[in-house]
Amino acid sequence: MVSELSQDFVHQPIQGCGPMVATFAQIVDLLRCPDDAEPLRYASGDLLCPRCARRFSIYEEDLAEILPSRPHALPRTVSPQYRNAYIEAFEQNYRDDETSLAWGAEESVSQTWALKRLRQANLMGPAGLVSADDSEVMKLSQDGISPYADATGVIEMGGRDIEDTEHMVTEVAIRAFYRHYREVMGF
Amino acid sequence: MAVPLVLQYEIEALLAEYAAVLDAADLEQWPEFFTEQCLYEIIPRENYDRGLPLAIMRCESKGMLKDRVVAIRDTMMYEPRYMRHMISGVRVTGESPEGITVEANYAVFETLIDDLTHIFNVGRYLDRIVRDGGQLKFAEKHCVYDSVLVPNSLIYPL
Repeated sequence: MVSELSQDFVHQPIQGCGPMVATFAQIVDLLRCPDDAEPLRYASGDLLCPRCARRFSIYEEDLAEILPSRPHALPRTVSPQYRNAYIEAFEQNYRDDETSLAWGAEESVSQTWALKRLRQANLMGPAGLVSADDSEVMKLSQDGISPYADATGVIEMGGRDIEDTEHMVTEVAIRAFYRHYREVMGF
Repeated sequence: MAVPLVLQYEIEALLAEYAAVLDAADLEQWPEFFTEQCLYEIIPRENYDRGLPLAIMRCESKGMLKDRVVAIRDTMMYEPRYMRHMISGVRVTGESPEGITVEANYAVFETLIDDLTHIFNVGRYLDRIVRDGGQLKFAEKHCVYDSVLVPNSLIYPL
């Protein structure tokens, strides 16, 4: 089964994904207010939620480069070396007692592109604009559950379905991932 | 290098003021210590020593520092905490038209609610300081920390 998935991955580009988002205006279209999921508007130097009037100041548009870009298939112009390294990183077979996470492949690119990658690193890691909250929440959760080592706990966020939502404050994607994972693995 | 006493004092006073602002979590004042075009980064020693540029926090202008403050204030969720900076061994290592280069050791302690104070991050500041409108400001500040790991999360700048 793993090798079947592998073949799909190598030969078929990811369907329905556009090119990477480039400009600040395009990125703004992807953003939602964390309070009420209303699309944000760019107004006089700030991001503004038209529903609750909450403002998020933007001082330097460079920072917006680190905001999410849509996933995309490897373009045809990618060098064979990069393509091979990418496939090698993401397409390894593991034993069931191993855990590994591929983050990317070695790139040989321009200074400009390297700078973009350095800016993107502001998102992840212990000081990541996205991931720092996760570390905080996981620590609090662990503090909460560790006195009950013999019990089983389930924390749900927003139900059990995998319906589309208009915002990103949802665990739908991860539920869908594990639903598929269970099917593939026959659990 | 022979350093004029006044300059040594000015640099130490700047670093003391910088630490006081961060220890008070007066984050809106933090970008004011930097020039408009600046580089601020928090980078592990492991990468810095090898000349690898990947940092856990990187701001390339005063605007990006301000954006970081907005993120901390408005969008990030974290446990309340006190930070405390100890800065010592302040050395002026060079002076040129590009500015004054300074090295200093720092230790930052973190106190979480209901927890004992622990050592959060230890390393050295590698700074390039310039005079900007009569005031000393950081044109570059590299916080090079010794540990490979950061406990849990790094919310406030160092």
